Amino acid sequence: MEFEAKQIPEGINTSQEHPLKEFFLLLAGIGGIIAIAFMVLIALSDYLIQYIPLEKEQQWFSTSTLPFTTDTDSAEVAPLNSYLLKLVNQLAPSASDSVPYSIQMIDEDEPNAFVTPGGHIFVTRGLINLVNSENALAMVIAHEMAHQIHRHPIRSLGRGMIIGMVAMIFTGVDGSEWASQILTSTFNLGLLAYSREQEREADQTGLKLLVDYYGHSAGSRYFFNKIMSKPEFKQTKLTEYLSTHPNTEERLKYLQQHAVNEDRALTPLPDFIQTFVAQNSSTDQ
Amino acid sequence: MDILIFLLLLIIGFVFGQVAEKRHYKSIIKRETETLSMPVMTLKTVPAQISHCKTQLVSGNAVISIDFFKKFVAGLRGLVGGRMRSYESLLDRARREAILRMKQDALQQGAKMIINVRIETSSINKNSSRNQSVGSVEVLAYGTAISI
Repeated sequence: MEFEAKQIPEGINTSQEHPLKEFFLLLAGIGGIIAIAFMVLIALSDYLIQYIPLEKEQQWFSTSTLPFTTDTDSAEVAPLNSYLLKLVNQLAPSASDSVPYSIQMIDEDEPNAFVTPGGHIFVTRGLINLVNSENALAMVIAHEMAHQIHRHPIRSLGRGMIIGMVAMIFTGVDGSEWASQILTSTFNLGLLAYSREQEREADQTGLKLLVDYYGHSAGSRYFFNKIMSKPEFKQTKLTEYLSTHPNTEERLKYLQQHAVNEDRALTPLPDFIQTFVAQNSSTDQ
Repeated sequence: MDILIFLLLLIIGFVFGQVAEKRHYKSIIKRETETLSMPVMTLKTVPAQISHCKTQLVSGNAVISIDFFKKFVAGLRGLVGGRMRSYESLLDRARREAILRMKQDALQQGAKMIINVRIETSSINKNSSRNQSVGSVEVLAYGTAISI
């Protein structure tokens, strides 16, 4: 038996390819496939939402399912809530009478309003303190109603569930928890852009509701103007991408372009709200 | 913030992992050339030409850790399947290092050759929950050293 000493050649058991090449190829390929799958799922969810009857939505999302409570019984707030509900019913277009809304005030200083699935609108005490006329308040409420007319709250919920689902699938796969985190944050950014689209839609429909009821759009920009005068609400192009609501200036521009009969007189807020506001602003100080 | 930490880990993993791998290969090739005269075989019996010899068990053991970059690339690869390039070099290094250490053991005993060489592989940290820890691979090479 003869033994010959030979050096084993390199590159048989390992790859000579640069590791970064594989990294970028895999990242681009998998990222692309996931992005497409995500878009398809989201489009599907948006499409299927319209087949959920409103009654079902109301059944699933009654006020008792909300993560916070509001006091409806207090003698001070009850007339206010019934006034808000009257305003909502006046603003509601007759064609979509099938959308039953509920509206409540919540005791928060920051001026804000939002709508949850099932058509439950909430306005903060801060918002009522801020507005100077019924029209300005009605615009904010009409905006939230428009969200429900376009069924934005339940759509957002559907998309949120899909993100959660996809993130969960990827957390289960070996060694890619980080990958799933990156995916979730990237898609969250994309979804913000989507929800800005919803805000634009809600502005348009909300303005229509306002004009249909009052016959003019006076006071529709009051809330935005107030917000813009506060330094903490200043927005730049950069923050716009990171924010759910479109740039306030942009929204103002839209409302200005579609203004109707702005020279008409504003409807004042009822007396009891004015006294409510006066009481609260005095206790605040 | 999470993304920044992740990118940092990825860069650290890539830079240090690549430097360590390059250095290790350089050292492996150098030592392999130096010990080329020592035959390492998988024969089960002593060659017939050798009539009288002393035998001794020799072994070499190497543990090599994966880096964050390799782990991440392997995670991506695990989704689509295919050649796991990032782990191939790891196993190659561990196997060659283990054989080199076995040879060193044999050389110190004054052996002329090693026969009946076997190689075992196992992974360390595989069972740790939620695979948070970075795993590593262990290769054990053992055989019978022949001294004449």
